[in-house]
Amino acid sequence: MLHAALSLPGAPAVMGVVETAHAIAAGAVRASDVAAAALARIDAFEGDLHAFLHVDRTGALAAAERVDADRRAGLPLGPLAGVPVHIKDMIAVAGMPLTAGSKMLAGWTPPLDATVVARLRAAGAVLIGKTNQDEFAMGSSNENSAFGPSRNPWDRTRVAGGSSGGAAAATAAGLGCGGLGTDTGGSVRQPAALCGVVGFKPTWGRVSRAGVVAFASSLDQVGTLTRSVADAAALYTAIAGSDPLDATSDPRPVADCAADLTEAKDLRGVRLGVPIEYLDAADGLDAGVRQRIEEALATLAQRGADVRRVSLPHVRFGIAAYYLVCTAEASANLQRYDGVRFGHRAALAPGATLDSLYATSRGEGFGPEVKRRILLGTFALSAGFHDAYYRKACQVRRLVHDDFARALRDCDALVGPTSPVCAWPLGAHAHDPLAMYLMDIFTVSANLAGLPALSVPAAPHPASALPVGLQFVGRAFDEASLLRVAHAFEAARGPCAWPAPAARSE
Amino acid sequence: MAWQGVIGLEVHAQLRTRSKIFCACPTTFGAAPNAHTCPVCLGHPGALPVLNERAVRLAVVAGLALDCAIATRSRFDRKNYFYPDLPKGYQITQVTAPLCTGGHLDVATAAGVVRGRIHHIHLEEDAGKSIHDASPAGTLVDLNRAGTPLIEIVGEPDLRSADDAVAWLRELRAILRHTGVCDGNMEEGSLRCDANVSVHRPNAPFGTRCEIKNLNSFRAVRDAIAHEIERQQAVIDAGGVVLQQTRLWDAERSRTLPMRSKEEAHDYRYFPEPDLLPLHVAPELVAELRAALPELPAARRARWSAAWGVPAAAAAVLCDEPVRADAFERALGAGPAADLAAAFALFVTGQVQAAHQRSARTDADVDAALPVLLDVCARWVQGRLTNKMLADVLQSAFGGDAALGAELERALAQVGAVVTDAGALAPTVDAVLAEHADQAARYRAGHTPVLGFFVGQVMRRLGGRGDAQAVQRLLQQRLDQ
Amino acid sequence: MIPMEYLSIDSVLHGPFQAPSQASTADRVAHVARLARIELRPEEAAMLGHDLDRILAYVEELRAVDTDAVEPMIHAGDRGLVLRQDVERDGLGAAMATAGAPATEGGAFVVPRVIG
Ligand SMILES: [Zn+2]
Repeated sequence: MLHAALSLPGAPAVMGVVETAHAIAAGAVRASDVAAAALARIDAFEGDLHAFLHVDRTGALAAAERVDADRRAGLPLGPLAGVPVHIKDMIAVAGMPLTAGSKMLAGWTPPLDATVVARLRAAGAVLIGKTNQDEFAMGSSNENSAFGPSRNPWDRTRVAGGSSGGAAAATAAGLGCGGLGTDTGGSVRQPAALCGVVGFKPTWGRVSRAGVVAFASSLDQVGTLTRSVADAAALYTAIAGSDPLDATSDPRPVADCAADLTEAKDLRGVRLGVPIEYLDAADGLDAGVRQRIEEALATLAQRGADVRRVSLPHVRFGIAAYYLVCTAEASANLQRYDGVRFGHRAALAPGATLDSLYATSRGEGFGPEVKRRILLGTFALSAGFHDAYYRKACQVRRLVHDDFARALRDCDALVGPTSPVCAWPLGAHAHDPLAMYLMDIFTVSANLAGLPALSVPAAPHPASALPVGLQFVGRAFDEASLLRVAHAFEAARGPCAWPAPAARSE
Repeated sequence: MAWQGVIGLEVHAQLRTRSKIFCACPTTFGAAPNAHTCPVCLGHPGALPVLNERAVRLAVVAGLALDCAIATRSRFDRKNYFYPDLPKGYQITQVTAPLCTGGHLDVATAAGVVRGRIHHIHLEEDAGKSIHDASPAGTLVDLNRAGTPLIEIVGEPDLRSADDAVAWLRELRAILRHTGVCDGNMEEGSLRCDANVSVHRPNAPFGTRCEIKNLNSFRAVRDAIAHEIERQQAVIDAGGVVLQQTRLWDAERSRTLPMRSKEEAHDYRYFPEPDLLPLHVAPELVAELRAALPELPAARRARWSAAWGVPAAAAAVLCDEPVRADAFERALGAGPAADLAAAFALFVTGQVQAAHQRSARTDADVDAALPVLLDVCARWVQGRLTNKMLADVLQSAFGGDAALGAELERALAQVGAVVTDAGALAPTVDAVLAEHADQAARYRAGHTPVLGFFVGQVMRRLGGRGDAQAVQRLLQQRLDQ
Repeated sequence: MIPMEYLSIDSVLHGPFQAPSQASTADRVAHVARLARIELRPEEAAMLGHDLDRILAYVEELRAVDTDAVEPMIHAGDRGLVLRQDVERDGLGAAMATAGAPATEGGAFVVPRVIG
């Protein structure tokens, strides 16, 4: 059923990461056929989904052919050999243009691979292209992409979520086996929930940020978008671990989470906390979403989990704290886009001043949401307001962190909805930034606390049949347990439906 | 009562590392524009700072040498402003939790010991270079220097005159050089100084201060502070008010000028650098570095004075540069030559220094030649070289092409020995007396000052190699016969 | 000795807190846009000013949180910085460093003339 809905010529493209790697290693399928099939599916879907900002046909086919040649020569293959993956446009791939979804960087090609990309290449993965995103990862709907939004494969009149909307849409539609996104306040998990795929954000410090365009450094983390938890574990295992190029990356060793997923899928003895603020007392939580989450909790309990209520009293301040911290950091991180060394420079009359070069280039290059956040962050750090806004937000951040630390002393993981609603129609919140910010209510706190978190599809919405995401939040640096719990839920839930390729344009 | 200056110095010292503070690019001076750059120091998207361990060690060493407390936990902050030579749009520095705090530096001045306290020392990255006058296209930006590791040493307003400030800065430079923290080269910008200057009447509160920038030589420090004190006095004497300003020293016209103040006051929007975790410095590392601290210049000068009687001024000059001081000690060795130490110190800081300044020779060449120079000095002190011979030797050797040591040995051989033997002097003395029989007659008639004329004549004929006393003795002998 | 707590930047560097209401919306947007070097069209400034007002009104809820004696949290975790050995390596070189630049001359970046 899973593959039937997707059967186009070259169906191997819709196999998962693990399945594809095994098939190629076993010689059941050639890497170049897998790559060609992935590219064919991109051709079939892309005009409609706009999931990609750049597709590297030549590079993908060449890399796949190298895998086939290595296999023929009997050389050892990497754990992801021949697996086609996509990379969010926040992440540098040497030789591929990088825009971060912004006109500001149009035409720029980074000279070096990000560490996570180098690690995927070393594992044998085939890089098929760069996925669409909100400009500088600022957005929850992909509508802030300077190059037009990605669309939701389940309903193309709806948003794919954000900011890694392109990656989520591509993954749901089987354009590659999965890919990398970035998650600053839910940017991997929320689009994963809206597109019905698995979005996994590891602990802050677990995955190198070197070569990843910075939005808010203390919150940003690279994550994975895949169609299964096992696939998430496989990509995560390839990219995780300390990096000499990122001084905030953690030296702790990484468990092989891919090998670690038990077949038993038993949750006996696992204590799962349901934050009342995320369910019972959550404002704005859609009734159908609530129903599916409660059913999921029942499923978890049936599998033996001890599901209990917990309270995180400060998470209701999470959005306010998050939007001050992330915009303050962003206001500084985005100062390098000044039209001097790379990127957009305004055409100015001779004799124009340096300041007018800066202001005009930045005024032209940045979109409205980026400007809004830079202005907010600049204000939060400015003289006289720094303590009342930025510093206060950092204090509240500590209280949020401490709430999670307390809850995770008695629970192995926390569980609740990823997004309060399903994918909404394109344009629905486009003129209400605050309403858009509030969509991140359940995801930002894991970033504030630096904890690993994962969204896995629950049953579809009872009315709209759109995907609903169930979120797990785990203990710092214990990604292995988090993946095990999510894997067990996934098995209990049973297979998901996947969007049909022609669901739109008939 | 007279006005008194109140001065505090802020000194930026480039740390002697091979690579930059947050990336592996070399710190070598003088490369082609942007030759030494990478994604980190270019501020490329996604590039992250990784702190250089040696920069931390050197900053700790500076703190220990200046009696600071070393923070076991310190932090980096971002200082935000837009300028083309600041690629990220912020400078990574330490504002709220610097690595070293407290501390002081005492200097001996004519008026006694002056203590200049140190508020703190912090680590930071240097900016690149903007070249304003090289191209009609506009200002050129070279980021080779961007990310060079610096410490900023922030002095308290404890100094009271331009001379005190210079003495304090000179001592600071000697300490930074002795500890290997900084090469102290002000021309290349590895040591840079800003001065906060105000005036007050003794026992009255300090006046409004001005910060003077661009002081890139000791002369500039002295002149700029002296002029600024005079300027502030004149403003107040004329009934005016000193405005808090940043002023620039214009060395060509010997004046300070206010920098153009932008309509917006600086708002650097400092906040903790999220790309760098707190810097932890283990007490064990501090103890290790403290134990390994070399002898500081003040202690070295005191030892030279006690052991060898080296005069303070000469010791200060020699200890300015540890390489010179080390070479001086090596040349003297531990043996009997130490008797000569005081004379040698004066010789090196006197005649040798003068000859060096007139030549194109390097410090290293002179340092390597110190053992031979000690021999030259010994001969001169013992009268085996006359003043004239010494001057000839130095002039000839410093002007030569080979290594100074070899040239000195050649010149010594060439100049030969002083002539003291009466038998060797006699032909010349007799010849002079014969030529100037009239003058000899005048001497014998009681005009004894004529003796000097004869000595001069004899010395001239001997090319300055005659022993003056021996010549005089022989002349008197002959004339009195 | 400066303690490790993250000190109040305003009280150290800037002086007392001013309530945001003291500035008009337009003045506030103009001020921060100038600090951030972003030129705004008039209608854009009006829109962003309105948004900023709403967002700032929303974040006022933080004032209700008692944060006395709460150390601001900058990073998750409490580990120290990992340092790099002082080893030099060639960088990109001038040609690659300036490859994406809008204006260069002789390996240097070019910007409008800055006086002093
Ligand atoms: Zn570099």
